[in-house]
Amino acid sequence: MRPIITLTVVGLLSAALLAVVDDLTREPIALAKAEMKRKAIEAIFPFAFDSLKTVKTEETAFYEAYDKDMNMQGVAVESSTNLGYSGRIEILLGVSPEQKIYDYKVVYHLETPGLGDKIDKPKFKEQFRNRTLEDTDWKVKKDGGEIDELTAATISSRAISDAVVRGLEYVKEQYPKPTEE
Amino acid sequence: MTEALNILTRGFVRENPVTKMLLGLCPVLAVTTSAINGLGMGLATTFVLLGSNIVVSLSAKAIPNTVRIPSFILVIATFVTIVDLLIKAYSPELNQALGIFIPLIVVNCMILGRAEAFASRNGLWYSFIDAVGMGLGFTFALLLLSAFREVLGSGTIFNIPIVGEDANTLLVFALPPGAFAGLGLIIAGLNSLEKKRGDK
Amino acid sequence: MESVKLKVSYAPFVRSSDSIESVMYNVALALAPATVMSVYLFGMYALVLNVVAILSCIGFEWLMDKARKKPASCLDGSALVTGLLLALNVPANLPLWMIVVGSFIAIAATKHVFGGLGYNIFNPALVARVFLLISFPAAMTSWPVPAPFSLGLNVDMQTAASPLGILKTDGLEALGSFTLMDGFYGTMNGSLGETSAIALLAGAAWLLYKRYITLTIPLTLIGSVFLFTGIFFLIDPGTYASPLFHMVTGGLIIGAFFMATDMVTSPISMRGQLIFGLGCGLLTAIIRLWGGYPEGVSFAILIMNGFVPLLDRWDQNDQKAKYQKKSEKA
Repeated sequence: MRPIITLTVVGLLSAALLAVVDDLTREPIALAKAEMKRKAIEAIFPFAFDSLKTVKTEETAFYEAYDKDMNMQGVAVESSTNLGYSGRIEILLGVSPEQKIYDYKVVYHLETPGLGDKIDKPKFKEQFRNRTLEDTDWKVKKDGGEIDELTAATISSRAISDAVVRGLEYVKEQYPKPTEE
Repeated sequence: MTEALNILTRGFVRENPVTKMLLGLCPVLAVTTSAINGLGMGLATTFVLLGSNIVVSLSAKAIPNTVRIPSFILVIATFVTIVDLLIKAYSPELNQALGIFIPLIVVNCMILGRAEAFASRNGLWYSFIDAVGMGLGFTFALLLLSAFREVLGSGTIFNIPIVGEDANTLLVFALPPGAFAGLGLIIAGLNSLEKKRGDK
Repeated sequence: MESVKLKVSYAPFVRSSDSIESVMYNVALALAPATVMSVYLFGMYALVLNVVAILSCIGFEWLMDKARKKPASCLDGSALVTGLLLALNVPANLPLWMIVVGSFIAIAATKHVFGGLGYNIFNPALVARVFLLISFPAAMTSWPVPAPFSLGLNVDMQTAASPLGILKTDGLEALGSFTLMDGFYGTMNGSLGETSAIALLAGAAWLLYKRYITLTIPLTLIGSVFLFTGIFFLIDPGTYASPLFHMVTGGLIIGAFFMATDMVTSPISMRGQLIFGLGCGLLTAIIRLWGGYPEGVSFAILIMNGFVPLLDRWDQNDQKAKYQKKSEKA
């Protein structure tokens, strides 16, 4: 009998303790998660925004960034591709209201360290700035397009181009009329 | 007091859990890609070790032998979950970097080992000292290995770059094989230091 | 009868007059055609690369002997062979400091850490190559295009992927004008000494003639690659390259004849060598067809190196059992 009672007591005590800690940390954890997302989005916009509005669709999620007067300053969109050298790559793509690219951030990838993982380096990402879906031939240079591929990582470069195009298409679908300025 | 000091320093060098007893190597090899990760993992493990050693030393007499191990594991798992929740709440970046390896502290055999071999047979004070010594020894080894790997593999230390972005670093040290090689080198280095000191 | 504890080892027991020096210098001689060919194909910088690799290997050997307080072994030829093999296994435009790092890994971290010549588990030149490949993937996979008789020291040669690399990233059609003869003579992109099959085979013939190597390992290795890639070529010739393509590209020839046959890191018995060669071949084919890297010979040989002590132990135990049976009968 005694072993059973002991284990029950230990189990109950730890359950009680965990319930308390869970209750105390629930709110901070939610806040921290939101903060992480916000930081990721802040990193791809060249400006500071005031508030974010999340729009979820079946395919993806959009994060609209607004300034103090509720003017939309840009949209971040989740995009992905399965064409990476080691499979799936997920990115967060930031575009302006005119649907020009600000920047992107690689959220998930398994590309080769030292080769394919350079897709998240500023040096490679720079070339995407201000491009739009229409004004660019999105193939890599090796395939006759405009995107500089990474040395010895052509597949990863193609994959990023694919993910960016997909992101731009999502945006175009969601916001059919880009604001003209 | 000398006994306490003895217990405290034992975990650091003579019986260092990583470099001498080779315990808990899974997190040692897996998360030591950057100094911050190593330090975070070390401190998280130290916290769990402190909690489990204290609770186990206080309750060991009340626990029948037949359910000793399950009870210890329950205690350890509780502290691990607490650490996990706290890190998620107050250091989401560390949580992202360490990921699954925080919950996996449960199966770090160093912690159950200390509970079994030391805390269950000793009083509160010595168990506390033992946890501090072993925990810091573990942290020290992780910090050493992760700093070594970060400098050579990524060319940064505590995420501060020490070489240019395009510099060729010894990438192999940022990858799993580098973890094994680095650990081997550190153990060899510490052993030879000790030998030299013993010769004098 | 008094029980005698004897250590039973597998044949060969024959002592030969060959010294380490004579073996090593003959291996170096056998590598000469490939080295000369590499200088012809890739220019003077290839020669510089070779010299630096050899000198740094000998230098590190000398330093390690000093540090370990052992008699100097730096001129016994083994460091020379390691340096030659290492240089033949890297692209012709590799920065010089990288080959020095490679030499350090080969001599200090692979050979002397385990106790020096004869005690190393893994082939030093191969470990160094893999270390460099993983550490500097960009420098180690952009191969200069061969430009015969270019005497300049120009490092900024035009670079491109190797045929195996192209096959991996762009598929079979992208190989275009590559012919088997390119692979055979070596007029293709690749490591210094991997490219020219004919030069390597000439050297291998010399070693066979001198009986420093046997055909068991090279034949099983190359044969199993041929068979395995052949099966997939027959199933789907549109996706998989022909087995002949796999024969002449990458490091298969140099790996099979010069690396896998390394006396220290290959099994002693015939049975062990057959398993060793087969394992190397299968792993090579698997990595080439489905792996993350285009070329798998070095990984395959290193993995099988790890099995050698196990294979040797197996033979030893069998011998012991045989000996015991015999003594029981008697």
